[in-house]
Amino acid sequence: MGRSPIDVLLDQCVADVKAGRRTAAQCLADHADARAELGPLLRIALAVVPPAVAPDPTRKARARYAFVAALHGEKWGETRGKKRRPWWAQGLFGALPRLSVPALSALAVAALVLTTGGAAFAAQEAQPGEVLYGVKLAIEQVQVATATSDEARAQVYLDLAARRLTEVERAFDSNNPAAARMASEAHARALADAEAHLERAEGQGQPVDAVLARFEASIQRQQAALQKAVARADEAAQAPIERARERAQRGLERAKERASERGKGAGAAAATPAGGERAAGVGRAGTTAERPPVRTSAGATVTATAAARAAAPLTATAPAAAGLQQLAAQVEALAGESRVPGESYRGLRAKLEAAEAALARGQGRAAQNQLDALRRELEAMHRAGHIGDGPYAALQASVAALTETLADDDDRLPAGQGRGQGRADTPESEGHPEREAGPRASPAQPPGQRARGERGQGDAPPGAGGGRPPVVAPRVATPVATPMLGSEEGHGRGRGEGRDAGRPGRPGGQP
Amino acid sequence: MSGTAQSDVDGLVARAIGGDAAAFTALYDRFYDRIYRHVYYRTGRVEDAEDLTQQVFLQAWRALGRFRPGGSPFVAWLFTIAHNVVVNFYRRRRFVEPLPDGATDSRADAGPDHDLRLEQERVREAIKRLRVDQQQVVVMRFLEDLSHREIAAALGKTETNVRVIQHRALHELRRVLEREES
Repeated sequence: MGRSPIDVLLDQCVADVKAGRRTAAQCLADHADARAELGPLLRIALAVVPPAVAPDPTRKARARYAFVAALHGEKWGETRGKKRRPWWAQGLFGALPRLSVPALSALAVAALVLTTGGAAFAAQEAQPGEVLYGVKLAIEQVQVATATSDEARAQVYLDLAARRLTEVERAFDSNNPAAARMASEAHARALADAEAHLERAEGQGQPVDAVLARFEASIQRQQAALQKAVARADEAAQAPIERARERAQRGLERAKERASERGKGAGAAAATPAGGERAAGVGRAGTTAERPPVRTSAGATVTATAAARAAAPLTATAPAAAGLQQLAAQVEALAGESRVPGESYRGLRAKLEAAEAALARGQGRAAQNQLDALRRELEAMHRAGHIGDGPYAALQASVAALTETLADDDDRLPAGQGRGQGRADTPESEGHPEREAGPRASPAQPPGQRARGERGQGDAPPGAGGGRPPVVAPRVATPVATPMLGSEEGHGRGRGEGRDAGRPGRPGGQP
Repeated sequence: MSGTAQSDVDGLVARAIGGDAAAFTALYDRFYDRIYRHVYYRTGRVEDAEDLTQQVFLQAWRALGRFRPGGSPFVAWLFTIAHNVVVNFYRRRRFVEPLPDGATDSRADAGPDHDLRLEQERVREAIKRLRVDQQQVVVMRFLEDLSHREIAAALGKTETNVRVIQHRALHELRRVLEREES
């Protein structure tokens, strides 16, 4: 059967309308003699349009990780090209693809719960191509899916990028270039995902300073590792590693551009009267470009921006800033340690960032509470064997030093300055760091007495404590004075003395 | 697809055929949304679209050894698998489920072209009543904008055969829709 003239006209009209060259009406007018037959067919053909739907990003990410896990499982099982057995003959794992994505995720979580510390922990060590690698990716998928914001997802992807880098290094150590190649490509993708979520978080006005600093620090560290990896790679593995390195370099440059833009934006805000409210932010972002990389005692390089940010809170003294900076670098270095499960690592970082944020708000006591929680989590991780003795001792020493620094800052404060300025002196706020008011203090309070932090120093009148860093002091001695190596005390997550006091096993209840 | 993009896909496909899971994951990333929309068009349910899209890629991975580079485009091959997955999905259920209320095109309430969207929905429903090969050709041709040559290569038919199927399918659709209207 040859082509009928109507079919030819129909194809032309459909192509023209979809390309915007003609409208359907114009097409029918141009072929008026065939209009009666062409019209209905054209209407039908043009009514076949893709649905205006897009997969939900979270469910898509979950599906992707489930798929990658299945892919690696199949690769290991070499089922490709073979006829599959019926589902009832495949057992539980054969039936998995028949389950919905949410069901798969729930199953993965249930499996994790049932195998706590067993296969799940063992999977953390798995390398690409190994049987447990799929489990590892499935666990990561759950982490991505449970992240509650783009900022949190960026953090997760940064963790994953660090893990992939560790896999690259270990693949070379075990002379497995194929695994190194796969991990390199996955590393580049994780960085791209992290950057994408970072940009979205910025676009949504979420706080990204901390993750941006981490992003830069991570990329710098990863760049160095990838440089070494290229030197060790064979010809086949060099290209993907080079790509990963270039990807990391581009990400770094973009991150610096963004930091610079943020600095300019904050500077512009500072030039206006209203900009005074962001005075602290100006100081932080504006100094990022000038500072050289800092080599910390932990051996990690902290970038200019990271160092600037760590040192930046105008409410912290220089020793406190340095201590924060060192702790940040040490925690960052843990990302490369394969013994640290991602979730625990995120917990450490979150507490550190919360401490930094508390200092930035002028809430020294809240910062100390966060450090206390950090110390307890370190103890728990050390007991569980997730952190080696060396890093643990170094981290605990840094936490203790920083805590002492904050206590010293408090001791140096003149009476009536920096302590409980319109904040935790009231009985109802006792032991609730989140209620430490700052700008939320009583409106009847004189401006000079208002706690600083969120509004920065710009709104503090002369003579009201603006001349010195207003680290807000704890009212009682901090429970953390020395590293608690081998401590048997509980590691609950008390949120302050008021809440923990008197509870057995709670460090907050100790004098 | 531009020449460079096509060559990228070809490179990824070649590596995936060699067993490179990362390359196949890159293909998954590239075509996931398109396959998802295709499956959603055929099923009308988000949950089914998600599950079946996963199945499409898993089956593609398993069958990759049978894909012949240089023949049909990879994406056309994926659509063929997607079609089979959807057909099997309905076969298992033994009936075609009515479109759930919330599964219609989200544009339905968004603008003034309500009649146009209703017509699109009617056509979508009518396509489900076509013969399987007619459904396949109509969707690949008008939804995915594949050429007759690409469809022919993907389905293992001649171009003429594909054109004939398209011709009959459109006339059948017209008949079904006119009968509904009357």
